[in-house]
Amino acid sequence: MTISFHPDDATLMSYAAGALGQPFAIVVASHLEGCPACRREFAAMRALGGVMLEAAPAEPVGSDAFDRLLARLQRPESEVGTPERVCAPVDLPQPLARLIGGGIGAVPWREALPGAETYRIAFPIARGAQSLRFLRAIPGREIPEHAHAGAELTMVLSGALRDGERLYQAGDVGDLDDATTHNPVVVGDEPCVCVIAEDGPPKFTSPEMQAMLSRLGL
Amino acid sequence: MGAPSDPTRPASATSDPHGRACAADNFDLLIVRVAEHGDRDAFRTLFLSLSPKVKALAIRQGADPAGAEEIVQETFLAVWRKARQFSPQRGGAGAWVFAIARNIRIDLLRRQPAWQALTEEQEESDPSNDCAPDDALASRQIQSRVQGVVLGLPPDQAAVVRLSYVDGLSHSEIAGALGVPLGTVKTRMNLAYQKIRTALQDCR
Repeated sequence: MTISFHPDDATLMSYAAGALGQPFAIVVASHLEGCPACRREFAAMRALGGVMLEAAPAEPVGSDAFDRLLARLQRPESEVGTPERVCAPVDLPQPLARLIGGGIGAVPWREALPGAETYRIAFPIARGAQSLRFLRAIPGREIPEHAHAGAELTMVLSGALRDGERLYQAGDVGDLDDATTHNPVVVGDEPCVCVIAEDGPPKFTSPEMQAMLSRLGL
Repeated sequence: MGAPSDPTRPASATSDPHGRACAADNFDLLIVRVAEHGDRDAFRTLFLSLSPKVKALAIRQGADPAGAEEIVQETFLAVWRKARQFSPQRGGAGAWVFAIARNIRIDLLRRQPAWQALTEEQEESDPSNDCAPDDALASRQIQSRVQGVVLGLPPDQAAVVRLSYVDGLSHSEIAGALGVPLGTVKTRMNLAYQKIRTALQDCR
């Protein structure tokens, strides 16, 4: 897999900091899994975490904190969770496979437009919700022109998506902010599956499209 | 917070606030001693040095005092149990503890562990594939160079780094807090990172 488009450094840093909203973190983790180049940059961003930790002010811990810790070390380890790998061969990166509990076939698709299906998972935040949206569309399907309420991070999982000059293929990530308006189109001869993290729902340029998708609850 | 009678405690790990590069090196050795010998004195020194900072970040990021203590407990339980997976060649002790605390905090504060990020180890660059060990800078050199860059950042770039790493705010939240466009926040973060990348380029 040759990856041409990566998350912005700023996005990777925010992930390293633990400051990305969950849907965005899932997309970044999915990209990192298959991208040695980003893991290499990520090492420096982690080092920055160490610098910021050591420079942080000290907040005294309870006087019995270390003794309590030692007592807990005596107990069995079962209470410590590690992420379970989804074992069956899956066509999704592990962070997405764990979320879905399987591969692309396990996604409960729902038709949004002719030739385009979607599945949206909402992640509540203080005000409103961010979401992670799976999208599967046939070649030639254009996603009508839209802007975004904030950041949008798209990762192509299979097939290909053309957005202006850019051709996004499996593993590629498009990292957009609220200044972008676009109408990506599926190209090639196989359906395109992608996953999209978004601060808020897309804002379609066409009022008719906006009204129709709102009625469908999409 | 100290245990002045603890003979195993390296003086530079906590007593010299300006000797951070040296302290980072000692933190690495402490974790190696925990991994290889189950050394509780080393573990205690590490805990006394870093737990107040883990707690401070947890509070900055929205934990109440009891919750912050719990994040400290869970973080250092994981440090003890995962010590053998720590590799100084892949990044320093501070970076590793920060990453563990970050994952613990996300799980505890959001109470939605179902998706989980990659583990700290899965996120790491594998030196054997990505960067030959001989070419890799020692973690203390990386840490000291990154620290030098951070100290020299212009205020607007330093602010977005601090709001991300210390306060745990997303780019959109930072944009709201500073009253600047989202794109401006990302540009400042990108500029800050370019300086770090330049400072570390002989590792690439």
